Amino acid sequence: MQKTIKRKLISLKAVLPRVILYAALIFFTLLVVVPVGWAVLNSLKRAAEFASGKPWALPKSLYLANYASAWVGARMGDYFLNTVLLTALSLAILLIVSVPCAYVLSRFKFRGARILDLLIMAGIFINVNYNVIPLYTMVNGVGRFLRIRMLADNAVVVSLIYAGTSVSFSVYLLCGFFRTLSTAFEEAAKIDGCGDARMLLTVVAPLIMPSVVIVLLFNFLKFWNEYLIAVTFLTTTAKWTLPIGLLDLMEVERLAGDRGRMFAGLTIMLVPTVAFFIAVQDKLMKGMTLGGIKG
Amino acid sequence: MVINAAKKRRRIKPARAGFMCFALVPAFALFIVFNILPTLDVFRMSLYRWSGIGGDMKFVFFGNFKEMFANKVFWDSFGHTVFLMLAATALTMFSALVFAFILSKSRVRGKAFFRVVFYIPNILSVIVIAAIFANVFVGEGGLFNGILELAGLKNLAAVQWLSNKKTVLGCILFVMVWQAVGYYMIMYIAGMDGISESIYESASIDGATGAVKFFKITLPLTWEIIRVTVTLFITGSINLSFLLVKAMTNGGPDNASDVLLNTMYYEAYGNSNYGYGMAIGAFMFVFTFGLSLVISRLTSSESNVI
Repeated sequence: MQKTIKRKLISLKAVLPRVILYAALIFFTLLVVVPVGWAVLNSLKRAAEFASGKPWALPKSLYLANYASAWVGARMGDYFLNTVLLTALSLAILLIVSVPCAYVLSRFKFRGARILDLLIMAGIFINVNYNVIPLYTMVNGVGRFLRIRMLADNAVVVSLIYAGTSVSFSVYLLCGFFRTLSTAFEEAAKIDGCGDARMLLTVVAPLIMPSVVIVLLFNFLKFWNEYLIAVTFLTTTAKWTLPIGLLDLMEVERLAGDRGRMFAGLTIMLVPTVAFFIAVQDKLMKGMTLGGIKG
Repeated sequence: MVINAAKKRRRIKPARAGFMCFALVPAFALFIVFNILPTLDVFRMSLYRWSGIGGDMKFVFFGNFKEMFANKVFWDSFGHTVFLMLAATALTMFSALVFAFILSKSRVRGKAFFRVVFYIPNILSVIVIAAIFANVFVGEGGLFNGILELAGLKNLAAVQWLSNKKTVLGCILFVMVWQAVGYYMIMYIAGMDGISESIYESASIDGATGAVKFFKITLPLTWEIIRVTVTLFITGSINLSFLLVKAMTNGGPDNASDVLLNTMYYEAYGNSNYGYGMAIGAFMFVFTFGLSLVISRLTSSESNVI
């Protein structure tokens, strides 16, 4: 009799820590999933359901009119397209500019290389949150000088700025990748008389591709989600991106109370990022621990 | 061979020099124009009085700083900034370390699932997060008050969490931790996965419990990564608190949730007090940089590491 009690106590002692572990994990999972899931489900509610005093209730029907109202009425469809174009252009500029730069910095020996390395390192500590306003003033100053009205309110200028604020971190990451890459192929190609530009395009680029993809994945999320530069620079409604659109929907909701539309706009912005993340999470998390620092 | 290399270093062929210019100039042009110049401008303009729109700039030397240090709103915002930085760092670091330990060193199922879910807040836009939690914490029809009501806490369920001076900072703090835990957890997992299993096994034979293993093995052996993340926490929490506050409360109610970068943005962009805003920016830049340096020195295990 005493033996079985003792055995039960032992098994309880063995199980209890695991129960606590699972409880902690599930608690935080709920903490993440519940607010996000609640916001998505809210996009399907009618105005009357918001006023019912039961915020936890599930939507009564699949009321999709909120989406039509957000996509067309609040122009989230236009902003979606703007965001896609702005992100793509910024990524293209970043790619064209930072891969050759990282290649030269990590492979060539020349005077001043060390100073350039230090500059890149210093750039990682500079953050756009501190200098977005002087940047805005500066761009408009250049615009006045060139007699271009509101130069800052321009998607191409904004994408140059996006690329510019990411270039030091991307070059830093790419340099790290280049240093781990064997030079055997390049030496073989050099013996065959391959020039620098052709070397980069035909020999090095295919080898560095996996690392470039990681850098692009990080910057995709950064550009897609960015709002401070966009809201400061893009003042014309037709040029807005999704984050500005959502910010505006929040403002309108506060004044006029159209909650369903705001949640629909939120979902339009959220779903592509989460889907993208689930598709590439393996690469993204591996890349994060390789680079070690966030841009 | 050595002589050959030395010669190469001194003289670069024209074709190569052209290629190097093509590779380096665009990247550094973008970098200098959009990062270095505006940063220098923060410091330069902090010495002027200017509306920011037009009109005359007046050189006032440290006048903006003098005005700033005498201003109550500045010190309130500074207090909020430091509070959020310290509290968010402590809570995030603790939770991230604990979850990383669980997901790396214990035998629970579904590790991959938990890693992905915990990381999700980090990939969402700050605006999306702000929109979600502005509605979670809203007085009428908010999820938080709904849950409190279900739990029978009628008194608490009437609180307007984001428009109450006493609770607004706590809400911002919660959202900051919510957003950041997954990111640091992944970094710590990477460090812990590098610790050999045999150390834990021999500790188990000596009768060490999970907590003892965590404090005596895991923490010392991941110290280098923890050290790097402390610097990230400082810059990260200052930036995140600004972006969240700007989108969620814009410093309200009555400056109760204002942080310094938000004050800077408002003064320079909204209040036509450009030089004063830049003085705040310069102060924050020096403060953050200095703090990172000091902490990096204090936590380094070797004296020659910065």
